Amino acid sequence: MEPILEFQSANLFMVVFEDAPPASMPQPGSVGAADPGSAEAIRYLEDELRAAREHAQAMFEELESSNEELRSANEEYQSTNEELETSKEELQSFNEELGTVNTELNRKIAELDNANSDLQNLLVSTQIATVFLDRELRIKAFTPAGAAVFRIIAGDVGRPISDLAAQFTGLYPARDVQEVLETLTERERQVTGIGGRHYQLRILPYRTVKNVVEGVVLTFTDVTSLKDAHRQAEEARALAENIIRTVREPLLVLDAELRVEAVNPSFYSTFQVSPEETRDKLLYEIGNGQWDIPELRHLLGEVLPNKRVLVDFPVEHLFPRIGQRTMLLNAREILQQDGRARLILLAIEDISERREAERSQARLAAIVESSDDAIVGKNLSGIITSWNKGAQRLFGYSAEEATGQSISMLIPEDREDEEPRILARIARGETVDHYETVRRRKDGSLVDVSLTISPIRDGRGHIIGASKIARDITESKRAEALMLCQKQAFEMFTSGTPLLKVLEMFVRSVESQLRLQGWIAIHLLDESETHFAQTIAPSLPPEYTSAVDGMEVSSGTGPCCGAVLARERIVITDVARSTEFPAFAAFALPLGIRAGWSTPIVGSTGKVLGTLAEYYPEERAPRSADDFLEEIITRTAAIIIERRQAEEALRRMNVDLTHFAYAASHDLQEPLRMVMSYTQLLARENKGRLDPQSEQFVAYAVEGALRMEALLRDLREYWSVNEQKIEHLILVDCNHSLEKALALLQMPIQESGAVVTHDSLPTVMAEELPLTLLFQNLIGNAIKYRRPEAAPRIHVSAHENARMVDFSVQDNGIGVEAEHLQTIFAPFKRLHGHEYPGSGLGLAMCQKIVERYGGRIWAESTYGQGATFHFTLPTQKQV
Amino acid sequence: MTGCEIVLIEDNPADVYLVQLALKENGVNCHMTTFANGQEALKSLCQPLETQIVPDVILLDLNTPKSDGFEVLIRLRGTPQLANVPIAIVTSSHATSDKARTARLGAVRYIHKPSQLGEFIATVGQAVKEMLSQDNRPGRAGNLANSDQH
Repeated sequence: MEPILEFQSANLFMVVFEDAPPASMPQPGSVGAADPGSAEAIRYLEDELRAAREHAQAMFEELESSNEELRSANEEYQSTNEELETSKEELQSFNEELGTVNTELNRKIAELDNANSDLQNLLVSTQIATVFLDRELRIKAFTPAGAAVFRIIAGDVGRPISDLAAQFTGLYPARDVQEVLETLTERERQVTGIGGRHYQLRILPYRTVKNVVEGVVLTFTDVTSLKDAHRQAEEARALAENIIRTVREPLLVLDAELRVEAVNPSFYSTFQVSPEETRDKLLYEIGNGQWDIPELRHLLGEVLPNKRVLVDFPVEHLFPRIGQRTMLLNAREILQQDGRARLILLAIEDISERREAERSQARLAAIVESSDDAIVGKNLSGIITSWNKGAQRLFGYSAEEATGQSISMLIPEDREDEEPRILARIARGETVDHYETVRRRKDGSLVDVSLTISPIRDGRGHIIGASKIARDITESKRAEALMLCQKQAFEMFTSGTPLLKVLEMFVRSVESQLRLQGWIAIHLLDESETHFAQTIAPSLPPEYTSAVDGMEVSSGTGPCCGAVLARERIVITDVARSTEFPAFAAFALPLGIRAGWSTPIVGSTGKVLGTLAEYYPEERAPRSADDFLEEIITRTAAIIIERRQAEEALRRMNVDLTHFAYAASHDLQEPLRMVMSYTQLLARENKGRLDPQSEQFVAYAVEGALRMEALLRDLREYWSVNEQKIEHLILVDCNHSLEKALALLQMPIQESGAVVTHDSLPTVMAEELPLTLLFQNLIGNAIKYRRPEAAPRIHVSAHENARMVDFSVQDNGIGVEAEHLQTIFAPFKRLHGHEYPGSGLGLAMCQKIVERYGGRIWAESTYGQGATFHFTLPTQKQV
Repeated sequence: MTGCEIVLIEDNPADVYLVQLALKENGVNCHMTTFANGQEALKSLCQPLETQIVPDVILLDLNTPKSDGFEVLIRLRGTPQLANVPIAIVTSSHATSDKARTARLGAVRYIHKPSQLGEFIATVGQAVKEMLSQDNRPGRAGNLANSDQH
């Protein structure tokens, strides 16, 4: 390489390339070795050399011709050089021009650079992801935001977008891009990218400045937040709409003229108007002007101009369709962006029912509060939730003290198990009705109560507690207990318990049943009413009884003497301070008696039988409850005492009468025998000397005497059953007794042709003779009251029970009329005249015999078809 | 039946007559001594041996005034010389306990006075006859045999 021409100001070189000899040419030093292969090599080399010489010859000749060519060329060069010289001058001027252009270009480039960075910054700052693609859809350029969208890196430039887009399905709509390239019209699409972000994709053809389409530009605008905002707005709107639809309160949206913009369904249903009557109407036109309420109109008129807010504004109005309503109105301007039409939201709350409920609740509350009964509310844990005045009166706690406390504070220890049982029943939804129990007052005293407990349910029907109504039944309980004591006393009395024992049990039971805080004493006067004969004071110390027994009434020692003398109650409210009965005070105070009163026990005839004394360990005046107590005790005592006295008198009289009757039945026998014997003697001695009429008279007299004798015999037997004490009971074989009876009845049996049959009879605990008499009477009766047309058929049977034997004597006689079945056992009760002779004592005696052994006798009969007499006798000794 | 001695302790003259009638009608021709009450009878019958009457039969009414029939019976039975004299109770009492009691106290018979005249004569007469015939004292049975021959 060498400079071709010596241009002065041109740094031009001419580059000439020549073939260089190959570097592998053999070096002379390497030939000469005379080894066996050398000859061959030499021959090869001589051939080579010859060829080379020939070649060099040819080369030389060629070089010669080339030289000539060069010479002509040189000449040509000389002319060309001249031409070049002129060109050089042209070039010189051109170069100068180029210099100015270059300066211009440099300035442009700087400008372009600026523009380029501006553009770059613009692209970055817009945050718009932009990707430039060439016609082959290779990535040409991209903005940083674009890099984020597609995860492109600088190295990706030149790669086909499809390589990357494959992993962002949906982000790159290949078809749309293709179409843009073809149609050259831009397109917009919504696409979703990584992380669910939403983009607004614009696809634009890339036009060069010369309006040549060189590819496409993809711009991704992130609309995620826009979209979210839109969705939120949509949701908020839907929510608001749903709320308005769901809200039970009628709602209206009104414009400034109070024209209805929107209505919720509740409005239609509440005020019974149709959408046609409502939408786009003025408020006052709705439903035939039913909302034309001047007051409302005035108020709503102030909402927009004065920014007034109506809160719970009560309006009462008589609606033509739905009647009188009480409503609460709430109205305010709906807050909106500026520039929008101003709207009023009017919420109407119909509180008519609530008002009514409140009124009835107030009425109920008033009733609860004024009730005499205690009304207590409690929850399912037994905590008191409400407490009325009645509860305060009954239990002593005020509402403040009781509310929040456990109900168990009212329950005595011995009844602690009641509450869980009551709560369990309440939890099951049951009502506990008139449950009588005892509760404890604030002062610790006990009170009889009747509880009615009902479950309280909430709006959904769940049981949340209980309401308890407690009624003080102390008085009725006392009365009940007193009645029970009285009943027991009467029962004991009737069963034959001695008077003093009855009164003692009565006093004891009254004291315990009524939980009396004091003592009771009953004093009985003697017959003369001058002394206290007996004292019944089981709870007082024995000193008391011994002091009062035998005390003279006229001594006036204590209130009991005073009560007998004055025939009215004598009260000592404080024994310690009373001066009336000093001896009594000295006696009573050591016994712990501090107050007391005595009431006379007056019998039905006005006679004072005794006194009732009540004593208490602390100062006390009689209360109204005590009056009742005294009345019951004195009356009961009076009845028992008088009855026992009357019984005693009756018993004595009965004994006397029995003795008399028994004696009479014997003593009459003797004179009767005289009458009979001598009448007969008279007749006999005068036989033949009396006229026939006189003889007839004597016969009548004897007959009468005979009848009387029979009667006396029956009476004697009857009373003998009564009179003879039961010496000792033995087991009597009834078969044997019956046989004896049949033997005694031999005559009438033969005469009547009676057939008497019997089962095998058991043994009973009785006496031999009366039992025979019993069978004799019953069978004798059956024969006596036979039907004339039929021979008597009598059957005796027995049926053994646990401790008694049921006997029956069945006949086919005339029977007994139903109305007489009860009375036939009374003495001298005779149903028949002379056609059936008898004293009327037979069945009475049977009854006496049966009852003597603790048995019972009765008859059954169908009149005209026979009778069956039943009786029972014990198989063992009766206690 | 003669020669015998009967003592009747009876306060009622009507009954005395009836007993006499019964004895007579039954052919008992005895001497009968009557005491209207127990005291008199005892005074007479319980004298010392030499002055007393020893009857063949004593008929005793339980219901006599001034002394209790049982008391009289006991006293009679307690008198040695009367030890073998049969005593019969003649009474209108129906009390069964009396019969047992008098038997325990030594009465050999208990004759209830029947109301009917015929029955009375038969019962009382028969009873006395039987007592006389069962008399086991020496020399007495013959009397009875004799009387049977009337």
